[in-house]
Amino acid sequence: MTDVSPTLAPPAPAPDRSAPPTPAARGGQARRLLALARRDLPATVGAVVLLAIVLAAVLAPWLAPYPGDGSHATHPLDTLAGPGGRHWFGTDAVGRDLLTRVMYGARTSLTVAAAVLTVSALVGVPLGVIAGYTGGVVKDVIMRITDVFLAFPALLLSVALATVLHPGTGSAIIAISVGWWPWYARMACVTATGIRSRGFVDAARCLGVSRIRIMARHVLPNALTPVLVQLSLDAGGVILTSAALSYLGLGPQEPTAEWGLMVQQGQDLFITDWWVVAFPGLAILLTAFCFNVLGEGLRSALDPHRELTR
Amino acid sequence: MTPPRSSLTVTDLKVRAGEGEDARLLASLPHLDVAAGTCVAIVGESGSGKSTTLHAMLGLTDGLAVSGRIMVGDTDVVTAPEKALTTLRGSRVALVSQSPQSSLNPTMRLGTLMRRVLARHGIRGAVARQRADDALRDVMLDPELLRRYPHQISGGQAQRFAIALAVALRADVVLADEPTSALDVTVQAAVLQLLDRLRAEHGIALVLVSHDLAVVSRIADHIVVMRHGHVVESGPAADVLGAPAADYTRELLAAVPTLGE
Repeated sequence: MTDVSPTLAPPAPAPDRSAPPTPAARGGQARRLLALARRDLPATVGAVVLLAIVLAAVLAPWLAPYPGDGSHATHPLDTLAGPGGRHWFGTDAVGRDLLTRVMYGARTSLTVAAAVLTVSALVGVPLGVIAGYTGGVVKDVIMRITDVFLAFPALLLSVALATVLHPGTGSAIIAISVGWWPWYARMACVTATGIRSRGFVDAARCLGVSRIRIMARHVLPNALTPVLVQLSLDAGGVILTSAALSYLGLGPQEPTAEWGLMVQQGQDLFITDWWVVAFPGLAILLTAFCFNVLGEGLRSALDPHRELTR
Repeated sequence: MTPPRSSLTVTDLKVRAGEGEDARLLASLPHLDVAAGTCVAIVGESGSGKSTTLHAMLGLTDGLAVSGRIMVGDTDVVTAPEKALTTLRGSRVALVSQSPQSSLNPTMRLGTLMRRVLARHGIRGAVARQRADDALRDVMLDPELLRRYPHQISGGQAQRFAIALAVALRADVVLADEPTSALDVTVQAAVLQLLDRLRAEHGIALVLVSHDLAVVSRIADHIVVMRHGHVVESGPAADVLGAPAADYTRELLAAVPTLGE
């Protein structure tokens, strides 16, 4: 097309991997994803299991064997039945099907995780980008505020807040978010500080782009990769924290199905009726673990140094 | 070109870091006059204050003290309010940077960037599309390139695209900061030729900054040699290259590998 092609042409007639993609190559995105999936098996398995958990949560009213057991229902004649044909995960002290309650519990846990991470990212990332890009006094003020929040152990802060607020799903979300957003502010600040000195930001300024637009269109999109990784890594942590809060009775209340709450209610029965604790506990473990594996996978997949280290 | 093009005039420019007694002079330019359609080259080694001078011409000197006058048409960049400056940047004074690829946002398609930059300066819709197409043709780039992301184009293409932005915005003054240093030799020549042609065709006042006398000798009308922030020599290109007055210029000239002779 032009006389600059020498820089583009591969030196040898190698396969045209390095050739610029044509519009037709857009469909190659799916293939790229598949190639990535094959390279990182644990992350892929994690993602698939998570997808199954999300589906089970979303479709619980239709999939669960005893949808009524997700909340109020009690079955006095069927209490503490062991795992078996009718109740795969057994029943709890008031006779509710534990498989059903674990599925409904996934709804609660995933909702809390999604809400906390959304709030944290929506509050923290813009603040961090503003701090990192603007620098100076603005950065100092924003970062000192986050430092104040980070000075408290996050779990203690959440426990204290949840105690003050009326216990329930909403307060659990607020309580956990308050301890969580500063991490996103700090991370976005560090990333934005690095991006500020990159050529395209200077170029945008030289083209007369306003501060706000530079932050929104040039700094923010380039700061999102680490945020995405962190979100995935943190989802497991939020689920653990939310389980801890409900275990302490500070989260969602009976009859809402919540894994931490179920563990707490079943702990006295553990010796005699292990399934009451084991299945919700395993659900917490599995979900948190899958998010971590997926997060690690994303981290290495999106890491610019990946090609060198692998 | 029919509309009269504004030129760039610098008088008594001094850029300092720090204040009072401790102030360190980064760049000093007693006089520079770049008429529309001409090319002035600022030559000097790294750290001689060339890039600082260019950024001062755009009013982008964070935390540095700037004194003197930088007139673009009838606007004084040194005293103009920030709002006037953001309008001036791009639409009247455009910068072509030394690392073309890294000056493109990796998350934005070139077409989106072009469209947004034009919209920023009030050019939208069919007019904007027409301007973009014309500019790309002017720099000999395929319009198909607009669908690509920066990592999908070559360094030479990226530099042409940066120049196309300046052309599309009808910038009167184009500041080229080492525009060829990141490119390989064949592409260097092409980009220089392009800048030279656009200067002539569009009546652009071109300021070319380089450490390389071989580069500037091809297209500059006037050459300013800077060292440690000061001008050591200034004059018509033929004089500076043919009969250098300053020792430093002779050193620079001696360091130029003679090409094609």
